[in-house]
This record gives sequence, structure tokens and C-alpha cells, in this order.
Amino acid sequence: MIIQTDNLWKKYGRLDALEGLSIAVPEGSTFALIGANGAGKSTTIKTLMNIIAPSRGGATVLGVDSRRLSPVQMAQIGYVSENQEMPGRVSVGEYIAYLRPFYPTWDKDLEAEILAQLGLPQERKIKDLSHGMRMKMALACALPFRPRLLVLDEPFSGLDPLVRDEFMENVLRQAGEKLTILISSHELMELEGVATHVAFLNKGKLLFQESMEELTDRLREVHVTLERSARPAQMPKAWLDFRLSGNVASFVDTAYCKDWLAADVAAAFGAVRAIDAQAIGLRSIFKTLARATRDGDAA
Amino acid sequence: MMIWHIFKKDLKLQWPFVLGLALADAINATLQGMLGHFPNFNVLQPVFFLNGFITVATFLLVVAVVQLDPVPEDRQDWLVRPIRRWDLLLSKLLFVVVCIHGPLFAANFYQGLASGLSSGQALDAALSWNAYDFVKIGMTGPPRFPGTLAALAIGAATRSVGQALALGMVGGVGGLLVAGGLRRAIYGDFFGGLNQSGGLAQWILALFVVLVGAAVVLSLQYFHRATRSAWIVICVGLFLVWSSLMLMPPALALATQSAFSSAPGRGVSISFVPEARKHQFSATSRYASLAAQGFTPVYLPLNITGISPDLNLVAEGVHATFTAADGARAESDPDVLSLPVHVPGQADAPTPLYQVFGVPDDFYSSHSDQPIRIDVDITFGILRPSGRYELPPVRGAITTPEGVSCETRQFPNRGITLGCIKPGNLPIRVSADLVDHASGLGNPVFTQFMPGDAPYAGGLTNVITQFGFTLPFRSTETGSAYPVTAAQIASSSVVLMTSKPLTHVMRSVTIPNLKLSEWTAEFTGAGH
Repeated sequence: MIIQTDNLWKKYGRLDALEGLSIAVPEGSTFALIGANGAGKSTTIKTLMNIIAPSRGGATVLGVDSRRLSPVQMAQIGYVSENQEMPGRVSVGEYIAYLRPFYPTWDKDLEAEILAQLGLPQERKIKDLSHGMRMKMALACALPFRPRLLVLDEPFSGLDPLVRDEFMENVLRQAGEKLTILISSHELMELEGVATHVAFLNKGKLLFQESMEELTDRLREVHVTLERSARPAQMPKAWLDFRLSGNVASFVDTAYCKDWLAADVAAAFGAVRAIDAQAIGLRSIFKTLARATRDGDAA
Repeated sequence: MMIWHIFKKDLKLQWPFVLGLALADAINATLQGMLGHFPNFNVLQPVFFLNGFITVATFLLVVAVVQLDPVPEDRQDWLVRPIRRWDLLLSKLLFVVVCIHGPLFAANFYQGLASGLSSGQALDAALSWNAYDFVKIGMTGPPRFPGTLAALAIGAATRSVGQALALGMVGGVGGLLVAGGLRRAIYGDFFGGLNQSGGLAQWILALFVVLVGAAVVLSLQYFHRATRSAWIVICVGLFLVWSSLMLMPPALALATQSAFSSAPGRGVSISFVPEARKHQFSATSRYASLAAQGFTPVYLPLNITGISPDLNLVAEGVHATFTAADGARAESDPDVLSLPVHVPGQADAPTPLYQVFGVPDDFYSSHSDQPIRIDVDITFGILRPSGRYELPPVRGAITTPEGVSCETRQFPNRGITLGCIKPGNLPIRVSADLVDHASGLGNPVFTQFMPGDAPYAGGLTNVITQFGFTLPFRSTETGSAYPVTAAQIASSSVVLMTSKPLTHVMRSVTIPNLKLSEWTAEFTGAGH
């Protein structure tokens, strides 16, 4: 594992921002950290980067205790955050030139390529860049040294769709077997098809983490056409977000198994006319789970 | 070398401010170099303004440079870069040394040369002033801003220049209030103790607090990013600085100072002379002002013996504790009262010597006729005479081997003005008198100890020091009744004597039963 946290806690006064978080990020994965506002995504990332200290527990990054990350490890980590503060009075070109000597593996050709692709004006001062340009700038500073780990904290926040596409294109262009990406975002559409693993945080707690493959396999949106409109007296706990429209009942089955669905539906509704189970996207998964956790249902 | 790399980035961003400050240093040095032996107000005024500007601008520039890579908060880009904390800290120190102290040192060196110091003396004075400017506390002279080391620490613990100013102000005023409150509880007054008698020990302790405190804050910030702890250290440090200056018991301060005593002082002893008569008091006595400050002057006759005949002994600081039979206690006025005790050529110190003590008025009025106990501590400076020079009273000029340069000019109808310049870090005692060779008459000797009477404490406060005094001749206009008159100037010369301090020594004496009312001075009419 390139990142591993063990019972990680972070307290701000009386507020528990993280409550015993334990996650494991496999090397080479694109690991999405999702959750509502205040779930603890940024706190997790800042703790991993040794920007803030955990209150309890610990984490390893690149095999090293996160509290002891040295320039050797930092030279292998690219970091992009929506609220990263870079020196405003220097130009794009000057700042990149300043960063270059800190990274032994900095590739000037790759730097030129990325700058050209992102269309960054090198003479412009950082303080004069728009938010989107600043995010591109942060990305341009995080990729040319071919990091082993790329950490993206809410990278799409405030970006228009075009910039988002350019941003992700550049990230993915660098992605390969050797690059691990840890990304926290609300913009789940952007993670669709990109994330290989996902962890869902809610109020500082980890609700689940698994590979996207397993997740999309076990979650299905199910539509059942009933003989007559009626709510079942009892439903399996794994069925979330239940809705009834006419004689069609819809729900998300979070423990989908093709062989057992018909039996479960029969047990809940009796005889039905049709059962239709469809794979659902990350956005729908997030919405369903977020709503369920808000309403107190099990995820 | 990443230290140099970060330094270059900082310089690229701050060079206009560095240039501006260097320019201000250069103008200041040029103006101070122009002051000469007889400074005039037209030059002194811009010098005073520039000194204040440079002090404030230096603080702001140091804070701004540190905050180019701010340590507090969790959004700064440098936190996620492979930058060694040591490299970052050392690059900031390098900036302070090269870009702030470099131009200051060059200006100081030029100022020394322009003022007539030799290159060695100018170098020595510039180095000592820069060292002092690095660790100074800013407790003297407006504006009260700290030196570059404290600015580094405050800058590292804050996010903005405004926050740095606020922290310094709140911590400084808070520390003063707490230390003052404690002083009031212990000594009865809120703001005191900044006396020269214990000045050396107090100031050294305060500078030590700055040195250690700044090192702790920089370490906390750069290696642990513990901003809250750093703020606590800054506030506690400011309290300790004030406490060093205001709360150190005078006896402890004097004892610390005399701990460095060496052989020349070992034979010195002090005793009270109860059979002596009252001190003779003149209207213009320098000690008469004590009465206006809420103190009653009491003059105690003291016998001081055991002084080596080739040395000078000077009382630098005195302190007395008055304890009444009813348990009431009072401390003497902490103002230093310098007293020449012995000069070479005399067989021994004249006896008795009358040392004045300021007794708080309220204590005096309630206990003046009761027997009280007095515990007296006196520190002496022991000096070795280093030269005797003669120069014409008008347009005379001389530079001593120590680097003291003096000139003379006539102050019409009043006397001869002696103006001197010396390297700022040279503690020296200068005495001068006006002697008419034709008649053999001489006017009284006037003496100054530069800097002050606690030599080493103030020795770093400037690159050069201008000082001087007027040697009055007999004049109907001023009422002076000295032997040498204006008509004898042509056949007279100014005699200059210099002495260098060797060491300090403290002596104590306890007077068990004494009535204060018996030792006030007798008024003898108008004096000189």
C-alpha cells in the first residue's frame, strides 16, 4: 500500500474532524475520497501530507510515517489543492524555475509539454491568474517531476467544464502503472471512469472503501413492476432510497446478487410483473448513500 | 545549495525594500559622519528621524521576508515541497545577515571612518553595533522596536505584518503590566528598576532571554510548526525581558556584576564613619533634584580604603534598604550617583566620602527620628589611567591612541567647549580641566564616563559616540568664581586625562542604628 492510515483521529477543539479513520490506498490506483462537505476529506489529505498533525493514530505515506515525511518523500509527491497558497508576486515561469532544483527527477521537456497543453502564460504573475488558471498552475508544478503519488484535494472546485476536462486530460496523460492518484472531490462525474477505488467518508468516519469494480457490482438500481401499488411491510436493509410511483417500486440494492434478487423481491412484494436491475454511476451511488446516512439508514 | 537558492528568490522579491533600507543606512551614516565634534540641531533632527525610520523599516522587512514562506496556517505551498526546514530557516538568517546587516555594517564602517576612527576601530565599532542590533530588545529610545533576531521569531510565528505588530504590542504591553504589577507588589512602585547600578546584569539577562526565546520560537515554528506554543513563548519571553529589567533585586544585580571582579578590587573595603559631620549642601548640587522626585536626600559618610595608588576607583551604582524597628522597609532611589573615589597621585581616598541616598518621602517623614537599619550595597568601577594630553583651548585637536578624538572651541563669555568623538564600543572615562600655565592656576576637573557608569552595558549602543562638556572660566555673566579668567585663555591649555575600566567590585555595609534626620545635608548657600 502506498498510503495506509491506522485509526486516525483529528480533533479541532471539541470537534472530531476524523474519527478512527483506517484506509489503504493500493499503489497504482486512482483512489477517490468522497463525502459531503465537512466529511473530513481535506483533513485526511492534510494529515497525510504532514501539513497538520493527527490527534491520535497514524499514517504511512510511501512507507514512511506521515509525521516524518522528509524532502526525499516530498520529492515524489505532487500535491494540488483548491486553496493552495502560492507566492502571488512571482510569475508562473519564475515560480516553476524556482521549484525545479528541489526535484532531482524534474523533466524540463515534460514541463514544457505540460505548460503548452495547459496554456499557462509564463510571464503573468500568479496573483493575476484566475482560479482556473491557478489550479492549472498548481498542476503544472505537480507533474513535471513524474511523482509516484499525486494528491488532488478538491481539484475541480470552481472550474468550468472545459478547464476540468483539460485538467483531467493532463492528469490522465501522466497516469500509468507507476502513478498513484489520491483525489477528493464532490464532482463525481469527473471521477466516473477514472477512480479505481473509492472511500466514502461521513462526518469523519469511514463508511466503506472498496474497488469501483466491487462497488458497481454490488450496487444496482432496481425497478419492480408490481401487480398492484403497495408498500412492502418489510424490506431488506440493503435496499436504500425506496420510492413508489404508481405500481412501479424503485430502490437501490446495496447487496446485489443476481441469483437472490428475485427471491428477495418475491418475499417483499409477492408476485410481481417484472424486475429490472441496472448498474449505477458513482454520482448516484454517492447520492443514495449520502441520503441514507443522513436519514440514518445503513449503507 | 538550496539555502542560496531560496535566498535569491527572497532577494528578487524584496530588492526594492533592501535597496531603500540600504539607502537610508547610507544617508544616516553620512549625516552622522557630518555631525563632527560639535553637532548642531539641523543635522541631529534628520538623524533622529532616520534612526527611527530604519528601526521600524528593518523590523517590517525582516517580518516580510520570513512571511514570504509563512510557517503558520496550512495552505502554504512550501509545506508540500521537498524543502528542508533547516535550509529555509538558514536562508532567512542569510537574508538578514547579508541584506539587512550587510548594508548596515558597511554604513557603520563608513560612519566610523568619516568620524575619524582608524579602520580597525571603525571595524570593531561596526561589528559590535551590528551584534547589538541583532539581539537588542528595543526598550530604549523611540520607536521601541526589537532587533532583527526578535523580528525573525515574531515573523515566523505570525501570518502577516499586521499580526506581527499586534502580537509584539499585546505581548509587550501585557508583559509590562504583569511585571509592573509584580514589581508594585514587591517594591511598591510600578515602573522602576531600570537603573544603571544593576544595569549590566539586568541587560545581559534580558538579551539572553531574547536570544534563547528567539531560538525556541524559531525551532518550534520551523521544525514543529507549533504556532500556539510559539505565541506562548513570545508572550512569556516578553514578560521575562521586562522582569529582567524591573524585578531583579538590586543586590543580586550588583553581586552578579561584581562576580567578575579580579585582583585589583580585592583589597577595597568600605565602612561607615559615624563620627563625621554632616555633608555640606549647596543650592546647585546635582542631588538637590532628588527632593522634587519624592525622595529626601540623606548623605552618609563612608570610608573607602585599600585602593591601589595607580588606579581610579569610581562608585558606579548604589543601593540601600532602610528597615525600621516596626518592620517597615523602603528602597533607595535607584538613580545612579557616580562618585569619584580615588584618583592617582593621592595617597588614598579622601575620607570620608559622602554618598547620597534618596529615601522615599513617606518613609522619611514617618521614620526620620527613629533608629533604623541601613543595608548599603555599592559597586565600584576600577579604572586604569591611560593617558594625559594637553591641547590649546581654542581650535585645539587631538586623537588619543584609544581613538578618542577631541577638539576645543571658545564659548564666548562662558568657557571652553570640549567636543569629543569615540568608538561606540569603547568604555572610557575622560576628565578635563582648564590650566593657566603662566599663573599655575587651574579650574575644577570635569569628568564623563562614556558610556555611563556601568561600562559594558551601554557599550554597544552606537558606532560612534559624541560627547563633551564646557570648561567654564571666571565670568561675571555666569557668576562662576573659578580662578582662570577669559583673559588668561591665551596662556592656558585644556588638560585631558583618559582612563579605561578594568573591572567591577561590590562592597556592602550594614549600619545597624541610624537616625536619618541626623544625616541630611547642611545648606551652605549658592554653589557652582
